[in-house]
Amino acid sequence: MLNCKQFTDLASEHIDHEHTGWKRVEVRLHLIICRHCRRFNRHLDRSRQTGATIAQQVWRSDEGTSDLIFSRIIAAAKNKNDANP
Amino acid sequence: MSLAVNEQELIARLKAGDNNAFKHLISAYHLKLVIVARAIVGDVFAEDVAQEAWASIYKAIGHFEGRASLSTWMIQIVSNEAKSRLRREKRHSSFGDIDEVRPEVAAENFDGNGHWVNPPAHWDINTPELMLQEDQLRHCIEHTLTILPENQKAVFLLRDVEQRDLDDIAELLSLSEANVRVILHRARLQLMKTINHYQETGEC
Repeated sequence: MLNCKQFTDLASEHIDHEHTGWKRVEVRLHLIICRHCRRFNRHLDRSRQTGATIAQQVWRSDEGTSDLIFSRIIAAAKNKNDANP
Repeated sequence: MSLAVNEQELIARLKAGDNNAFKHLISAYHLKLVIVARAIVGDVFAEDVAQEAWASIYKAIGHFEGRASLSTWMIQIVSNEAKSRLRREKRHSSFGDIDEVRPEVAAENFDGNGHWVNPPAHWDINTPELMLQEDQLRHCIEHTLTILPENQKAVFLLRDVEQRDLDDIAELLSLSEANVRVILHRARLQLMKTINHYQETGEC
């Protein structure tokens, strides 16, 4: 029978529906009987969702960076064309 | 512009040679490509690799067939560029062979039988929508995302932002699936720890 500490180790895999067979049954049974682990699971899932939303918003480049990278691409392409007319 | 919603329109503009569309793509994806590159080839070469990947993307976008999503295609390109650079530099991956010790919630939270003695506390701000409205909490999460180790950043990006399968992530980053699971769990636990601390103290 799974205990709480073991569940916390498996919680990400549970969120990702990675468990099959008896492991999945064990995890689900544990969640039925343990409200603390249900809360842990909920918190981990919401942390993941909130973190992903914020990452999507902040892991972007500003306009200046985009312009700079684009100008380098164009310059490199032009140099290549000049070298191989 | 959301890539998911307007992807077909964006692809059409990119194929037509619309430079503004390409700049938009760079803006949305450069940092993400750097994160993936950094996880494979390390910090020193990551920007350079991402730049090479952009050159390849620019050159090949006209032939993009749409068999995979645009982001999947771009991430595959930067992964290939990074692995190729790694071979050229004959260096080992910065994190390819991490230990597989499972990440843990602190042992003092459990008794000898593995049952909670310090169970998770109630969160007053308890939905992602409410958390996103809390400026200070957003700041704390942004900071945590910034200081995550590079491997955790890349795996979290690929799984929870880009929603790639674990086996794809393992292939992209040259890791075992077991390692990907461990690294992902560590990143999520770190985010949860940050949010938990904020819920208890109102501070990062």
